[in-house]
Amino acid sequence: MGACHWKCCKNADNGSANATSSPSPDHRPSASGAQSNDDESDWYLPSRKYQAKHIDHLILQTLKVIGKIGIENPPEVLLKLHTIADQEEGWIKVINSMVSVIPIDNPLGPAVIVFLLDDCPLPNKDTVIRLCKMFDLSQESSSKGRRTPCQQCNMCIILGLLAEKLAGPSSVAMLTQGTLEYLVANLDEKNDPVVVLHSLIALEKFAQTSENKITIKKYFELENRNPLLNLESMLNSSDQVRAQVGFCAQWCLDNLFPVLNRKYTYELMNLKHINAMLNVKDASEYLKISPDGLEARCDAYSFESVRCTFEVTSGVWYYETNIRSAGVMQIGWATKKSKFLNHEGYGIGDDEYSVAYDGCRQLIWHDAKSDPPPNEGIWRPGDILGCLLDVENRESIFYLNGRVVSVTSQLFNVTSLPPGERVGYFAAASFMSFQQCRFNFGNKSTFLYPPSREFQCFNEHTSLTDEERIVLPRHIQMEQLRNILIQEDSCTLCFDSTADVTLRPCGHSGFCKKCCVMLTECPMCRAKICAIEL
Amino acid sequence: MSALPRRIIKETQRLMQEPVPGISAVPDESNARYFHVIVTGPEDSPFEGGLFKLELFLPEDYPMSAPKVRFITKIYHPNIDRLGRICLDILKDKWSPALQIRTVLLSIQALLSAPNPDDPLANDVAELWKVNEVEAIRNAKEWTRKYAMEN
Repeated sequence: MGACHWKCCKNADNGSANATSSPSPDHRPSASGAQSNDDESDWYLPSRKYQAKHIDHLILQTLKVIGKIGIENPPEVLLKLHTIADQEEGWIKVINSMVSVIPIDNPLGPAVIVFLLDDCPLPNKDTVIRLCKMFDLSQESSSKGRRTPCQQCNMCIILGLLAEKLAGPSSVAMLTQGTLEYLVANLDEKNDPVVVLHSLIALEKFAQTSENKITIKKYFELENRNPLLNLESMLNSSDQVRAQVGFCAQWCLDNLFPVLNRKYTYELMNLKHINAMLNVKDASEYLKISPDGLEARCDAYSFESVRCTFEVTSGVWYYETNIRSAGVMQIGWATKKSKFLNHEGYGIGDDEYSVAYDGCRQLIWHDAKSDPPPNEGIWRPGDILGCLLDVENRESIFYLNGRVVSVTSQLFNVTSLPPGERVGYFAAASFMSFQQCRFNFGNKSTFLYPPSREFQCFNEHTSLTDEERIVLPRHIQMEQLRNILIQEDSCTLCFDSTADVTLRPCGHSGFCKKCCVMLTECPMCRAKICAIEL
Repeated sequence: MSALPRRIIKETQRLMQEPVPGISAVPDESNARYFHVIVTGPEDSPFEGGLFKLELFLPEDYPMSAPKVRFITKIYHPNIDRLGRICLDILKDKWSPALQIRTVLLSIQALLSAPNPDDPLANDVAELWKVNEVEAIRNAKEWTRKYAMEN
């Protein structure tokens, strides 16, 4: 479960009148999450002056609790920070604290930035311009800045987040010459790869505003050589962060900033040997899937999921994933019934139809509940997570670098199947912001830690058509979708089938049967539906 | 990207071909279920002259369930809270699959013309709207000037 489900707990009813989530001044969280230095329990209220050390402390506390499980509501520290950030002055202070105290080596650091900013009211244009001035962004501050790579990385995450949230005039105002110079100068291969990575992602988020996209493209064209082309060559680096940079650079070149005379990667791929891959038609919207269909990454602020193309119904199967980033991912198995509720923070392991391992928080997930595994299993970039499914013995086993982390049968608890029907399982995974991994679905000889029991692998037991092997860039996919022609006599609810029924007693028509059986009231007049007439 | 329902394709095509006056709704470049929305403040309302940004998301089971809509621009309104969440019946229990993105946005625009402090989401705003409408309207105008007029 992505921790953003805190947000959805509050938003699930789309803002009902009884929502009490906003910490209004009379809602005083107790000081339990805080320590002795805030003995005045109401110091964080708007009437008080906020001190930087208090805010630093709250942010570090948030970082501590965010990886914990069993928290159904937002932790109090988070509520306090929201109260502070509610006013522009406090908001700026919270940002500054985040830049200076969130450590680079904590895989949940970016998550804290995302959760905090995601639930604060957005700042106005003046405030973000002020923030950019305070960040003092320029070509110079990139190369010989006073800031540590960690602070630069945090700044880039914040810039990217604001650029996305404020897409439009405010995002244009933020992308000053200084901001642009700073971010592009950061793309130098000699820089710390984490800074390169988050600068690139920030540019991508700025480019969500088309005016910015044009500005950035022009700027790249003025450089001697487009920096993305250099970064793309890091794709096969053995350094996991560099490999992420390569992935993102290639993504940008294929999807956002195409370069003249460069072919799309998918046009150059020879995928004849690939018979199972991540299913682009079975992924949530923001997940980035590599042109070879075997690597996935999330840079959105939602919990993005994907299933693979091959369905397992019996036997023993195994696949491996190369963990690129150490943050929250839930990797395992899911049936088609498992739903991707990316915006609500639910993914693989968050319903009864799936099971997943998260080696960041060290938890086995099933039915949105989690248990610590019996064996130590914290993952680090470069580790190999092995996932084995034994249908007949009703077992799924997770291995980290060949060691068993957990054996579970939870996925097989779902009974009540019609006789003769078999459940199909798919390799599947969910990703929190800035997380990435690479899948290996075989051949057998390519596995780094093949399990000792007899097993099969997807790639040796299936095949794909040439068309199914193509992972198109987003914009081409979207264009194809928009050009679909729709019949005029279609059902006005789904537009999939012909409108062929009339509702009784009200007599309204224009719908198909498939839609109407889901309804109890007429969509036009709200009269109770007693009969559906063909 | 998961397969996009024809209903969404159809609505998007229509929004592009026959835009609604005073409202712009543009699908995200990479996510066909997410719309960037701008609603102009209605004439003769305290929101006149403002451009209000909203986000609209079509959930997995749309149109069987309502779109999720939220104001991104800060607004002083009794039925919209500080996070931009909107208290509007058609987004909740009065949703019907025959309603569309355009009808939802028109209803939101209408809500700006006719605030309803008796069904509040922002309690302090609603309270003031009831006891001192003149001051509430002054606040609303002030917020419109401060947050919804970029220039």
